[in-house]
Amino acid sequence: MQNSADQIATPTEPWWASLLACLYFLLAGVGIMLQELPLDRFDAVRLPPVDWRIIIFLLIPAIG
Amino acid sequence: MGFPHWSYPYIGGLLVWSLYLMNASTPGSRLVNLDRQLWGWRAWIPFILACALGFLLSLLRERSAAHSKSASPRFLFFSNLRQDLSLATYLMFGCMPLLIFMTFDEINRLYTLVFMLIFTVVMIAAAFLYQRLARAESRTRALVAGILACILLIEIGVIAYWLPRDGVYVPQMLGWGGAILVIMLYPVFLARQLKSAQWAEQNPAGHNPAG
Repeated sequence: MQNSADQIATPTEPWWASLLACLYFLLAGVGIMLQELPLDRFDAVRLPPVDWRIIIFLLIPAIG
Repeated sequence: MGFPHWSYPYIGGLLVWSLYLMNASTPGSRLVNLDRQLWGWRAWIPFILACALGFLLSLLRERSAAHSKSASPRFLFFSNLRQDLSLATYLMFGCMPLLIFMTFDEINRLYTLVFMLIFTVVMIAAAFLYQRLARAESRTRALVAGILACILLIEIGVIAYWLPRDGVYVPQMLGWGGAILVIMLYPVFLARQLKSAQWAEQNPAGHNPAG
């Protein structure tokens, strides 16, 4: 049987809200991975790795 | 409706990223023309803008539902924390990507990439389970397991890379990991202690399930 504390904390948010939490970690993980990739070798990607990090950093508050 | 639980790691992450960026420069950037100058107070602009926007939206919501007796979302941020202390751990879990980024600095790119893939999967799984599991106890366990797995992977990854290169002092690395673990898990431990004390108060002669 669940106690009252368990009942209070039972999630009431929709499932897509959980995906937004996952998105944060995905974005941060991809952001770190991007700077490990040799992006500067590709002509299509003109931005240096530091700019990718800034873009990810600005995206985080925008979503949150 | 209230202050959304999913946004807590964003807040924790943004706070430490802003602190980190304050003392960093971004030479070579084409987007921000600061050259070797430190970001300083400018690092807080995204955080301030996000807070201002959130504040404005909550004000608008209050005006549109003036008759409603429910508390404002900006106050619910703190009352959520009071009600469920594991949210403070969840907020600090948002700092994990920066922690990984800093500890894997100067390490071979491909080596970091492989670890980063594992870290991303572990962090996403922990966040998803924390958000979705029905029982508070199970959710806290999933979060604690995620944090433990991340710290363990950091220790293994960094020590395994630097040890053959004489680039790491193992006791210091382990101590550092232990300290981070204590800080992150302290709210969960505190919640457990408070729950035990509350239970003991209500059932003076009974067996305590939490202890």
